[in-house]
Amino acid sequence: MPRLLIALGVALYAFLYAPLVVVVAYSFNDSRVNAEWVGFTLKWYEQLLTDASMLTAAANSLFIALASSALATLLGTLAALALAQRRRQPLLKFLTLAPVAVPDILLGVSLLMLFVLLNLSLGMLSITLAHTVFSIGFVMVAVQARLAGLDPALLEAARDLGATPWQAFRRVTLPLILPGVVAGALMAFTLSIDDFVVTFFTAGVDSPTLPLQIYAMLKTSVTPKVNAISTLLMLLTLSLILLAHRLSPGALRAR
Amino acid sequence: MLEIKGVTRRFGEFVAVDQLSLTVQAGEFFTLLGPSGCGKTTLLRMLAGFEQPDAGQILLDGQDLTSVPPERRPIHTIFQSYALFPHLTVADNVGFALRMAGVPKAEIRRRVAEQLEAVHLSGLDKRYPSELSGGQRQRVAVARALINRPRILLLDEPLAALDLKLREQMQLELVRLQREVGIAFVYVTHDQSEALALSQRVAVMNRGRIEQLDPPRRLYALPRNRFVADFIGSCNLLDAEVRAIRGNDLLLAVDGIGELLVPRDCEAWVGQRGALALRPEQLRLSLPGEPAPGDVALDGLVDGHLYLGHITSYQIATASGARLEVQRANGAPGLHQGLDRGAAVRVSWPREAGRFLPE
Ligand SMILES: Nc1ncnc2c1ncn2[C@@H]1O[C@H](COP(=O)(O)OP(=O)(O)OP(=O)(O)O)[C@@H](O)[C@H]1O
Ligand SMILES: [Mg+2]
Repeated sequence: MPRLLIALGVALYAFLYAPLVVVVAYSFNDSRVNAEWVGFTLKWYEQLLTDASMLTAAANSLFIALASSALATLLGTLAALALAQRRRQPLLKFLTLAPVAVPDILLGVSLLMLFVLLNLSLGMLSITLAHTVFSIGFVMVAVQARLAGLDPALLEAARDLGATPWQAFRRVTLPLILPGVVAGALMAFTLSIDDFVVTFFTAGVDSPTLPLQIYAMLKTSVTPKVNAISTLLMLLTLSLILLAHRLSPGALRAR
Repeated sequence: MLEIKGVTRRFGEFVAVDQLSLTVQAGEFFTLLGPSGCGKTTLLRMLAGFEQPDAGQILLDGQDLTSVPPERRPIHTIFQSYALFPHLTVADNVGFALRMAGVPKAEIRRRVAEQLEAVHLSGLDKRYPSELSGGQRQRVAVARALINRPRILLLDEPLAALDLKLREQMQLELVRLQREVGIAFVYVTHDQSEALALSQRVAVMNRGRIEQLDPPRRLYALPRNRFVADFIGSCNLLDAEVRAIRGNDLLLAVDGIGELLVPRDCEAWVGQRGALALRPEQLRLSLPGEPAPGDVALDGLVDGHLYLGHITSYQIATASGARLEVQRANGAPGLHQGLDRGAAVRVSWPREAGRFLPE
């Protein structure tokens, strides 16, 4: 029985990671077509570095991810704090979780309509706002989880010992919810940097992000450059997820 | 001196604290004692500033505290859960109040070390609260609350989470500490023996009001009413009515006993209803036929007994129809011969042991 389970587990991981391994492997393959292994090369990575449109897209993506995750972290944390003041508000709770569950395509279309209605030109700003919208919910959930485990007596103890409301927040609440805030921020960043659907609807013509650029490249020709850029993107998101894991509650001693 | 004047706190229709007034002297060990839900914590929270009274005033040395926020009251609290900051070390927990007050770092370090020594925690300064035992956490909470010498320390059932041995040890330590620092303690508990053991004065609370406020000895010897007599220690309470007043005595008609005299120590009138109170340790047991040591004697049977180590508690059913608890010291070392269930006995007591408690 345990053997069967182990075999199943191996199969599952193989299924999950085989496509990724193939992409990574072919990004080092010295051949134009993704068919057979010819030899090791770094030339696709070199070509990436000289590809101006790819570099612009990467810069755009990075900027949007940083801006939208910062904005979403700030707003999401504040919203979670505000909600914590009023416990037992099922409607408000539902409303914060709903955007997390709305299909991307719906969100993309409705945001597009909103931006058109507001006469906001599509570009970096509109993408950043759109990414902020779908990230806030994730940040809120992460922060709310920490807040729910926060003993209200701790804040009273801080006030009792001479802390003003702001000091109590700064010295007690903030350090204790920080793991949630950081996890939310990293989640928002990864969601933003690899988002395609929502970005597709809210991007203008002159502001391609990495996923849009990859898609455009695929339409013309499947070059191993796509594998190379995908590998880099994967490396970035994986290390962020690892970081989030390292920063999880235990590491910050917030027990 | 802390004065509480006519303080009321309502939660919706429910009155948790009802026009309560009392005064705590400087340097006093004062205890609020009462059953669960009687409003002890609510009163304490109003003193700390976490709750606002709906009516009444709280004065500290004549200064009205009612609108002063918690951080500006020279009053600290020890919470039942201790509420130690989990992300700070023991040293940072203890030094928190000084840090908030902007005391220089070097001085904080010196005073924290001093304070930790006072509660026997030196060497644990770099630990986190999760790495401490229950008793150690309790000490950290005490050290943290006392470090900048508040005028008053509020303690909400601080020993409730500890086991019996540790609780007794901490009781002694708290009393010692309180004498040393000379800060008034307002101590909340629903454990009557703890209240009697620690306090200079005890306020017995019931349904948001004070039933009696007295030093422990007086509270035990002269409970003012049925509730207090029942709550403090154990007490036989038998329904009774005043038949006549004879000088300094009252003639009572007691359910299950009949007529008897008790000393008069309160206002009373003929026809008044109340209870006869008899402390179980003041009742004597003897064998039928022997001369009974007390003034009042009743024949009865042993209906049950509980061996409690230092004493044995007997349930006696008297021939006249009353049920009485009698406690007998188990006396000198060696195996003590008890009375078996069904044994015929006489219960007796000196006349002064009985007290009439009006309803
Ligand atoms: N925030 C609140 N909202 C509604 N009712 C409350 C609130 N706080 C306390 N009460 C009620 O007021 C009453 C007194 O509560 P309190 O906590 O003061 O009791 P207590 O004497 O400390 O009891 P215990 O010994 O169980 O701690 C209780 O009946 C409680 O249900
Ligand atoms: Mg309480």
